[in-house]
Amino acid sequence: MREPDGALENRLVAELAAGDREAAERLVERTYRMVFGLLRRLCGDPDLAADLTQETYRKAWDALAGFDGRSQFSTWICRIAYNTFLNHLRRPRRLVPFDEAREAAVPDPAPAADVIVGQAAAGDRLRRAVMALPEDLRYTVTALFWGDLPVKEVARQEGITTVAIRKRLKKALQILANTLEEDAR
Amino acid sequence: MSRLTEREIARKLAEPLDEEPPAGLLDKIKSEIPPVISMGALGSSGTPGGKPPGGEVRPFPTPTPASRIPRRAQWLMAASLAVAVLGGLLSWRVVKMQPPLPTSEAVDMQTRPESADAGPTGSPSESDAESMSPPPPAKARPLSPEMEKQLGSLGYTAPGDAVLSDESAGMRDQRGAGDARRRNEAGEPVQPVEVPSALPAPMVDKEQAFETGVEGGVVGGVPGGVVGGAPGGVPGGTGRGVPSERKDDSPLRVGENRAAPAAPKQKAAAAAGTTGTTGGSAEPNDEAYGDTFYRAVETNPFVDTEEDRLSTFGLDVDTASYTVARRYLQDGNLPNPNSVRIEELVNFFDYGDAPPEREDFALRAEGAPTPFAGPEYRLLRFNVRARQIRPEDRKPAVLIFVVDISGSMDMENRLGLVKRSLELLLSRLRAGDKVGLVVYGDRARVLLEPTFDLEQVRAAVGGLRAEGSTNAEAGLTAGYDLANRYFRPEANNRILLCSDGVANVGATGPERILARIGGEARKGIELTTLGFGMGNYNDVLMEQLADKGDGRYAYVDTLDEARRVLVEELEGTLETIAKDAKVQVAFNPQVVDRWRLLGYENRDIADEKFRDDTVDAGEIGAGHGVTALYEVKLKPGATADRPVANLHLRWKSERTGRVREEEKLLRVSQMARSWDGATPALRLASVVAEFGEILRGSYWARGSSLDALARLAERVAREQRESRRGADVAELAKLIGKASRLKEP
Repeated sequence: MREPDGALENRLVAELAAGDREAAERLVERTYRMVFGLLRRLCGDPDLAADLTQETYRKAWDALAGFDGRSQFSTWICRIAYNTFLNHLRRPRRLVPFDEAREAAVPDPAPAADVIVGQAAAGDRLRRAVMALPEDLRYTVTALFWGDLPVKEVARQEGITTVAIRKRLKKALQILANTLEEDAR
Repeated sequence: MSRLTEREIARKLAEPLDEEPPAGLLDKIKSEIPPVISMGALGSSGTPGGKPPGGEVRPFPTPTPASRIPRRAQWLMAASLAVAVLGGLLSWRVVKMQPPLPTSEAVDMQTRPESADAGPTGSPSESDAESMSPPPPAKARPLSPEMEKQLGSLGYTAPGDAVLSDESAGMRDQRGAGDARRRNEAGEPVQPVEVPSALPAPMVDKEQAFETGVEGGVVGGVPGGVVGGAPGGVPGGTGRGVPSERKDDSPLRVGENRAAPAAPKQKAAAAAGTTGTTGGSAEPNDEAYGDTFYRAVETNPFVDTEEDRLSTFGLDVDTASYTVARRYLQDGNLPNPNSVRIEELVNFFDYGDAPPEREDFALRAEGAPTPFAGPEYRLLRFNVRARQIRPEDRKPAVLIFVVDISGSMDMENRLGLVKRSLELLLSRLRAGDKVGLVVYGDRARVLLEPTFDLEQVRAAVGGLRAEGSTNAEAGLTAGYDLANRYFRPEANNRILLCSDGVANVGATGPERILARIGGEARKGIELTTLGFGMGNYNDVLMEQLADKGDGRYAYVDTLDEARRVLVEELEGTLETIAKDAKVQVAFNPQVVDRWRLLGYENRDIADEKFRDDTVDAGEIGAGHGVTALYEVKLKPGATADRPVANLHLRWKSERTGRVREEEKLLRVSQMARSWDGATPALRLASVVAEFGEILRGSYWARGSSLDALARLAERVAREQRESRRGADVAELAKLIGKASRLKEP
């Protein structure tokens, strides 16, 4: 039987600690799809997600000194990815084009409604609804669904119980249901 | 439009992404692995969960105590992680077998500028609302078995879609009847809704007291006589099981969703045994997050007067929500429902209520039928108008401008608007006022010690440039330090924070600064927040800061708004008349069948705390008017001279330092018989409130259309064209029309 992934990750981290740079490559191989997928769903843009994935790992290498191995590497990197995304949102230079574009589009914004149809739009709507969640709920949803992390890992990382995580999730889904319903009205 | 159940949403969230990471990404990442990686702390200190790198950007980190998970449980976690990762791999394999998203169109849409900025505080743009019908669950892509398993472990899988849709239909049907059942849907333990099993004895006494007290002419008598001394006298005796103090400092208020209807529309539910609608405070609020969160989520429900005849809340003079909505609409977007606070919309307008000559407050109560509810319903308007202060009578001020000059303030000329706003304010200051200037980007620095030389201040303000990131905490800390050093007991000591509210750097979340703000406010240094900019704007933080800081929160979308807040209402912005102003409205159960407070959701105070003067409530500035609206359903056959409701206002007077109480009784005979016969003030207020309810997506505005409201608003605007608020009302009508075209094209 194969070595369980968690144990494998731990072993790779231990090897990395011992100075084996190749272990870092193995860790990247194991986690980068998850990181990319998470960022892709957070930001909705594949190119940006790729950039942010790279940035996530750059940060991770710098920060590994603070990693104590008590949570899984994948849990840890998921949080870094999420923070990288938040950081990105707060970068003013990234936001400037947004406003310019929006202002340019102001004269008649209504037609945009007709342009957006179909499933992709629905996904985007869901994504934006997730974005509008309160911070802790948003992270919970991101980590559980888009980071594929187990409840227990997220609970441990957040320093709360699994019951509290489930409650957060419950609230998040309630809010999402309301938001999507309102949007659809 | 059908409502997605939580399960359906969970499944949609869990859908695998049909997209591979771009080719070459893996190599790029690998190429960036540094030759030497420092792993110093491995196994020694700090949990990664508690302190992730880049964690400094979490805008408002939930306090995360060190992991409480016992070590012996770790093997379990390892196992579940293993399962999840295996599942991930499996699902990737599934993904790979499916064709990738071929639509460049989809990608285009997703890179549309808005999408990059939905942001933690950003809002879903709703201009495309109509096109967005959620796809039926049947079309959902299959989930990997492991994701199914994870969903199952979370309580979000159903045996099959058929069951699922039955469930969802059932859920929809239940919405009117069973909040508790809804909560129970995912197997969460049901919190018993606290409903008194029988009317507590004091309740009966209170009703008698209302009758005897009010009819017996207690008006102006012993404070509390009218309500039978109930407030404070009988904790919990009013049917409100859980005393709900405001807990505004909870980090969960950040980004909260206030829009969700949480209680059934009892208008439609036709009476009979409805329970659990006790003014929003019978929710299971005792859990760590549930408290503020639940309360914030809901729109106030209808409350049966038989169950709870008292409505208690802190006053709020903020008006930001209206200007925020205006900004959204003028940009061609519908406002984020979470940003809409009905009381702030309503209080934006000057209803022409006369201020008192000598007293601190003038009280007013009126009522009328409204076009937005059935014939047995009335809209009640209670207004509290504070004494005005002539500019020359204002106390001197020690003002500390704390200005956000972070990079984000460079956008849309936010800083330019701040500068012009402050220049307007400076033009209204006079000899004896002192102004200091603190700016913050990465760090805070005192640009100018408080000085009487306003020309010097003007020059310093004029020279502001945007730079760096945002450290609001440092800025406020420096501002308070300065204000403390220059504190003058006889003056208005006030911090004026100008920011877009984006606080991304700082040692902690807002808790620490919020704690300090409360203490400083008690010492007499108040905080007014002026919000600027949109997109990445943090409405909640700005409101929270001003609320804690005993000041006012205004959102400055235009220079005109700056003029209104800083010039026309300068005395009110600078000088507080009353502190901790609370309102309690007692409804007569023999006349009022049920009632609903419009807005003030996050100002709720437990009934029994009304006479607890340690409870933090609203601060009212000179000349401010505060309006509270109630929708009430009358009992059939209420006769003309019966009292409908009695308004109590309790506040601490700044002038005398003493706590005072006033009341105002509203009788059936004092209410208009038709909406057309209502006062202009009430007609306007009803339109504003309905606008807010629709924007919020309130349950009680479901049947309303913005289009009809726009026509009504135009009528009201024509009628009130000549009044002092004529321009504001005309603008309101335009905004409603605009919203109508955006929402119902």
